[in-house]
Amino acid sequence: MIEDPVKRRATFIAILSKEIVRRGGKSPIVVGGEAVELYTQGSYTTGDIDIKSPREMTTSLLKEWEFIKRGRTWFNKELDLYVDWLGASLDEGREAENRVNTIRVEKDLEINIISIEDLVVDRLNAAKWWGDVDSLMWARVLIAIKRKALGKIDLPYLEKRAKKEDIADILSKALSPDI
Amino acid sequence: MKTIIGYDEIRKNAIETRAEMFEKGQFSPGKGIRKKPRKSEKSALLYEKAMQRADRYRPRFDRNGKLILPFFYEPRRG
Repeated sequence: MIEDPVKRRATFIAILSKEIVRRGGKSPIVVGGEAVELYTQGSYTTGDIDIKSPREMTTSLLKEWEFIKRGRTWFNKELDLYVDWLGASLDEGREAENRVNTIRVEKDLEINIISIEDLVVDRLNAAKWWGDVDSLMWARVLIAIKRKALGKIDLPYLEKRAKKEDIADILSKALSPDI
Repeated sequence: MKTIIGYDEIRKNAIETRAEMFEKGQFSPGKGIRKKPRKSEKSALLYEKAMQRADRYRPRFDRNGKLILPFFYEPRRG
Protein backbone atom coordinates (compact mmCIF):
# COMPACT_ATOMS: atom_id res chain seq x y z
CA MET A 1 0.00 0.00 0.00
CA ILE A 2 1.27 3.52 -0.81
CA GLU A 3 2.11 5.09 2.53
CA ASP A 4 1.49 8.74 1.69
CA PRO A 5 -2.30 9.19 1.86
CA VAL A 6 -2.29 12.04 -0.68
CA LYS A 7 -0.46 9.90 -3.25
CA ARG A 8 -2.55 6.85 -2.34
CA ARG A 9 -5.80 8.72 -2.99
CA ALA A 10 -4.48 10.16 -6.28
CA THR A 11 -3.28 6.78 -7.52
CA PHE A 12 -6.57 5.17 -6.55
CA ILE A 13 -8.61 7.80 -8.43
CA ALA A 14 -6.41 7.33 -11.50
CA ILE A 15 -6.86 3.52 -11.41
CA LEU A 16 -10.62 3.89 -10.85
CA SER A 17 -10.83 6.33 -13.77
CA LYS A 18 -8.85 4.05 -16.06
CA GLU A 19 -11.08 1.09 -15.24
CA ILE A 20 -14.32 3.04 -15.70
CA VAL A 21 -13.11 4.28 -19.10
CA ARG A 22 -11.97 0.77 -20.03
CA ARG A 23 -15.51 -0.45 -19.34
CA GLY A 24 -16.95 2.25 -21.59
CA GLY A 25 -17.90 4.85 -18.99
CA LYS A 26 -17.12 8.54 -18.71
CA SER A 27 -14.02 9.32 -16.67
CA PRO A 28 -14.82 10.55 -13.13
CA ILE A 29 -14.26 14.20 -12.26
CA VAL A 30 -12.66 15.04 -8.92
CA VAL A 31 -14.34 17.90 -7.06
CA GLY A 32 -14.42 19.43 -3.56
CA GLY A 33 -11.73 18.88 -0.97
CA GLU A 34 -9.94 16.18 -2.96
CA ALA A 35 -9.60 18.62 -5.86
CA VAL A 36 -8.04 21.20 -3.51
CA GLU A 37 -5.71 18.48 -2.19
CA LEU A 38 -4.58 17.64 -5.73
CA TYR A 39 -4.05 21.22 -6.96
CA THR A 40 -2.14 22.10 -3.77
CA GLN A 41 -0.20 18.81 -4.00
CA GLY A 42 -1.07 17.92 -0.42
CA SER A 43 -0.82 21.30 1.31
CA TYR A 44 -4.53 20.91 1.94
CA THR A 45 -5.49 17.40 3.01
CA THR A 46 -8.85 15.74 3.07
CA GLY A 47 -10.06 12.38 4.31
CA ASP A 48 -12.39 11.42 1.52
CA ILE A 49 -12.46 11.46 -2.27
CA ASP A 50 -15.27 13.55 -3.76
CA ILE A 51 -16.11 12.41 -7.29
CA LYS A 52 -18.68 12.82 -10.02
CA SER A 53 -18.88 9.63 -12.03
CA PRO A 54 -21.29 7.22 -13.75
CA ARG A 55 -23.32 5.75 -10.93
CA GLU A 56 -23.80 2.10 -11.90
CA MET A 57 -20.29 1.57 -13.15
CA THR A 58 -18.74 3.23 -10.11
CA THR A 59 -20.97 1.26 -7.75
CA SER A 60 -20.19 -2.06 -9.36
CA LEU A 61 -16.44 -1.40 -9.42
CA LEU A 62 -16.30 -0.29 -5.80
CA LYS A 63 -18.24 -3.40 -4.81
CA GLU A 64 -15.80 -5.57 -6.78
CA TRP A 65 -12.94 -3.88 -4.96
CA GLU A 66 -14.60 -4.70 -1.62
CA PHE A 67 -15.73 -1.22 -0.69
CA ILE A 68 -18.69 -1.04 1.68
CA LYS A 69 -21.32 1.69 1.54
CA ARG A 70 -22.37 3.75 4.53
CA GLY A 71 -24.73 6.60 3.66
CA ARG A 72 -23.35 8.10 0.47
CA THR A 73 -19.76 7.15 1.32
CA TRP A 74 -17.96 4.01 0.17
CA PHE A 75 -15.04 2.80 2.24
CA ASN A 76 -12.38 0.14 2.18
CA LYS A 77 -10.70 -0.52 5.50
CA GLU A 78 -7.70 -2.33 4.04
CA LEU A 79 -6.92 0.51 1.63
CA ASP A 80 -7.93 3.22 4.13
CA LEU A 81 -9.91 4.95 1.40
CA TYR A 82 -13.25 6.76 1.60
CA VAL A 83 -15.09 7.66 -1.60
CA ASP A 84 -17.93 10.14 -1.65
CA TRP A 85 -19.99 9.73 -4.82
CA LEU A 86 -21.67 13.09 -5.47
CA GLY A 87 -23.52 12.47 -8.71
CA ALA A 88 -22.94 11.67 -12.35
CA SER A 89 -22.00 15.12 -13.64
CA LEU A 90 -20.94 18.54 -12.45
CA ASP A 91 -23.70 20.65 -10.89
CA GLU A 92 -22.03 23.66 -12.50
CA GLY A 93 -23.15 22.47 -15.95
CA ARG A 94 -21.77 21.91 -19.43
CA GLU A 95 -19.41 24.90 -19.45
CA ALA A 96 -17.69 23.67 -16.27
CA GLU A 97 -17.43 20.16 -17.77
CA ASN A 98 -15.65 21.64 -20.79
CA ARG A 99 -13.15 23.35 -18.50
CA VAL A 100 -12.12 20.18 -16.67
CA ASN A 101 -8.34 19.61 -16.47
CA THR A 102 -6.57 16.28 -16.81
CA ILE A 103 -3.73 15.50 -14.41
CA ARG A 104 -1.15 12.99 -15.56
CA VAL A 105 -0.23 11.15 -12.35
CA GLU A 106 2.14 8.79 -14.11
CA LYS A 107 2.40 7.13 -17.49
CA ASP A 108 -1.08 5.87 -18.49
CA LEU A 109 -2.66 7.09 -15.26
CA GLU A 110 -4.74 10.24 -15.44
CA ILE A 111 -7.28 12.09 -13.34
CA ASN A 112 -9.95 14.51 -14.51
CA ILE A 113 -10.40 17.42 -12.14
CA ILE A 114 -12.72 20.42 -11.95
CA SER A 115 -11.11 23.64 -13.21
CA ILE A 116 -9.40 25.97 -10.76
CA GLU A 117 -11.96 28.71 -11.50
CA ASP A 118 -14.91 26.43 -10.70
CA LEU A 119 -13.13 25.15 -7.59
CA VAL A 120 -12.53 28.74 -6.44
CA VAL A 121 -16.28 29.38 -6.73
CA ASP A 122 -16.94 26.19 -4.74
CA ARG A 123 -14.60 27.36 -1.95
CA LEU A 124 -16.08 30.87 -1.94
CA ASN A 125 -19.56 29.37 -1.60
CA ALA A 126 -18.28 27.37 1.38
CA ALA A 127 -16.81 30.54 2.89
CA LYS A 128 -19.90 32.69 2.40
CA TRP A 129 -22.83 30.34 2.84
CA TRP A 130 -21.46 27.61 5.13
CA GLY A 131 -19.26 29.90 7.19
CA ASP A 132 -16.09 27.85 6.64
CA VAL A 133 -13.32 30.12 7.88
CA ASP A 134 -10.49 28.50 5.86
CA SER A 135 -12.13 28.38 2.44
CA LEU A 136 -11.39 31.98 1.45
CA MET A 137 -7.69 31.38 2.13
CA TRP A 138 -7.71 28.17 0.02
CA ALA A 139 -9.48 30.06 -2.79
CA ARG A 140 -6.60 32.57 -2.66
CA VAL A 141 -4.06 29.76 -2.77
CA LEU A 142 -5.75 28.26 -5.87
CA ILE A 143 -5.83 31.64 -7.62
CA ALA A 144 -2.14 32.22 -6.78
CA ILE A 145 -1.13 28.76 -8.06
CA LYS A 146 -2.97 29.36 -11.32
CA ARG A 147 -1.46 32.81 -11.81
CA LYS A 148 2.03 31.74 -10.84
CA ALA A 149 2.37 28.53 -12.78
CA LEU A 150 -0.58 27.75 -15.01
CA GLY A 151 -1.53 30.93 -16.81
CA LYS A 152 -4.11 33.64 -16.35
CA ILE A 153 -7.17 33.25 -14.18
CA ASP A 154 -10.29 33.51 -16.35
CA LEU A 155 -11.68 36.59 -14.63
CA PRO A 156 -14.75 37.11 -16.85
CA TYR A 157 -15.83 33.51 -16.19
CA LEU A 158 -15.14 33.80 -12.44
CA GLU A 159 -17.10 37.06 -12.25
CA LYS A 160 -19.99 35.59 -14.23
CA ARG A 161 -20.20 32.59 -11.91
CA ALA A 162 -19.75 34.74 -8.81
CA LYS A 163 -22.59 37.02 -9.87
CA LYS A 164 -24.87 34.03 -10.45
CA GLU A 165 -23.98 32.53 -7.03
CA ASP A 166 -24.18 35.91 -5.25
CA ILE A 167 -20.60 35.72 -4.06
CA ALA A 168 -19.13 38.69 -5.98
CA ASP A 169 -18.32 40.42 -2.68
CA ILE A 170 -16.18 37.56 -1.41
CA LEU A 171 -14.61 37.01 -4.84
CA SER A 172 -13.16 40.52 -4.70
CA LYS A 173 -11.59 39.62 -1.33
CA ALA A 174 -10.13 36.45 -2.83
CA LEU A 175 -8.61 38.42 -5.72
CA SER A 176 -7.11 41.02 -3.42
CA PRO A 177 -3.36 40.59 -2.78
CA ASP A 178 -3.81 41.08 0.99
CA ILE A 179 -4.19 37.95 3.07
CA MET B 1 10.93 1.29 31.51
CA LYS B 2 9.61 3.27 28.55
CA THR B 3 7.14 1.63 26.20
CA ILE B 4 8.16 2.28 22.64
CA ILE B 5 5.40 2.17 20.04
CA GLY B 6 6.47 2.08 16.42
CA TYR B 7 5.04 4.42 13.79
CA ASP B 8 3.66 1.50 11.77
CA GLU B 9 1.71 0.25 14.77
CA ILE B 10 0.24 3.71 15.49
CA ARG B 11 -0.68 4.09 11.82
CA LYS B 12 -2.34 0.66 11.71
CA ASN B 13 -4.32 1.41 14.87
CA ALA B 14 -5.40 4.79 13.51
CA ILE B 15 -6.66 3.23 10.27
CA GLU B 16 -8.59 0.54 12.17
CA THR B 17 -10.07 2.97 14.68
CA ARG B 18 -11.13 5.35 11.92
CA ALA B 19 -12.83 2.50 10.03
CA GLU B 20 -14.60 1.19 13.15
CA MET B 21 -15.83 4.66 14.10
CA PHE B 22 -16.98 5.29 10.53
CA GLU B 23 -18.98 2.04 10.53
CA LYS B 24 -20.69 3.12 13.75
CA GLY B 25 -21.45 6.55 12.29
CA GLN B 26 -19.12 8.26 14.78
CA PHE B 27 -16.60 9.57 12.26
CA SER B 28 -16.94 11.57 9.06
CA PRO B 29 -13.93 11.23 6.77
CA GLY B 30 -14.41 14.61 5.04
CA LYS B 31 -12.66 17.70 6.32
CA GLY B 32 -15.89 19.31 7.43
CA ILE B 33 -16.52 22.97 8.03
CA ARG B 34 -14.24 24.97 10.29
CA LYS B 35 -16.27 27.54 12.21
CA LYS B 36 -13.64 28.47 14.77
CA PRO B 37 -11.89 31.63 13.62
CA ARG B 38 -8.18 31.38 12.92
CA LYS B 39 -5.63 33.97 13.88
CA SER B 40 -4.60 35.94 10.79
CA GLU B 41 -0.97 34.91 11.42
CA LYS B 42 -1.94 31.24 11.24
CA SER B 43 -3.91 31.76 8.01
CA ALA B 44 -0.96 33.64 6.53
CA LEU B 45 1.37 30.81 7.54
CA LEU B 46 -0.87 28.17 5.90
CA TYR B 47 -0.99 30.29 2.75
CA GLU B 48 2.78 30.72 2.75
CA LYS B 49 3.40 26.99 3.24
CA ALA B 50 1.06 26.17 0.35
CA MET B 51 2.85 28.65 -1.91
CA GLN B 52 6.24 27.29 -0.93
CA ARG B 53 5.06 23.83 -1.90
CA ALA B 54 3.78 25.19 -5.22
CA ASP B 55 7.25 26.66 -5.79
CA ARG B 56 9.02 23.44 -4.85
CA TYR B 57 6.70 21.30 -6.96
CA ARG B 58 5.88 23.80 -9.69
CA PRO B 59 2.81 22.63 -11.61
CA ARG B 60 2.80 22.93 -15.39
CA PHE B 61 0.92 21.80 -18.46
CA ASP B 62 2.76 19.42 -20.77
CA ARG B 63 2.66 19.81 -24.56
CA ASN B 64 -0.54 17.74 -24.69
CA GLY B 65 -2.28 20.06 -22.25
CA LYS B 66 -2.09 17.53 -19.40
CA LEU B 67 -1.44 18.94 -15.96
CA ILE B 68 1.80 17.77 -14.38
CA LEU B 69 2.00 17.98 -10.58
CA PRO B 70 5.60 17.10 -9.70
CA PHE B 71 4.80 16.02 -6.12
CA PHE B 72 3.18 12.88 -7.53
CA TYR B 73 6.34 12.00 -9.46
CA GLU B 74 8.49 11.76 -6.34
CA PRO B 75 9.57 8.21 -5.51
CA ARG B 76 6.99 6.50 -3.33
CA ARG B 77 7.52 4.61 -0.11
CA GLY B 78 5.51 1.51 0.66
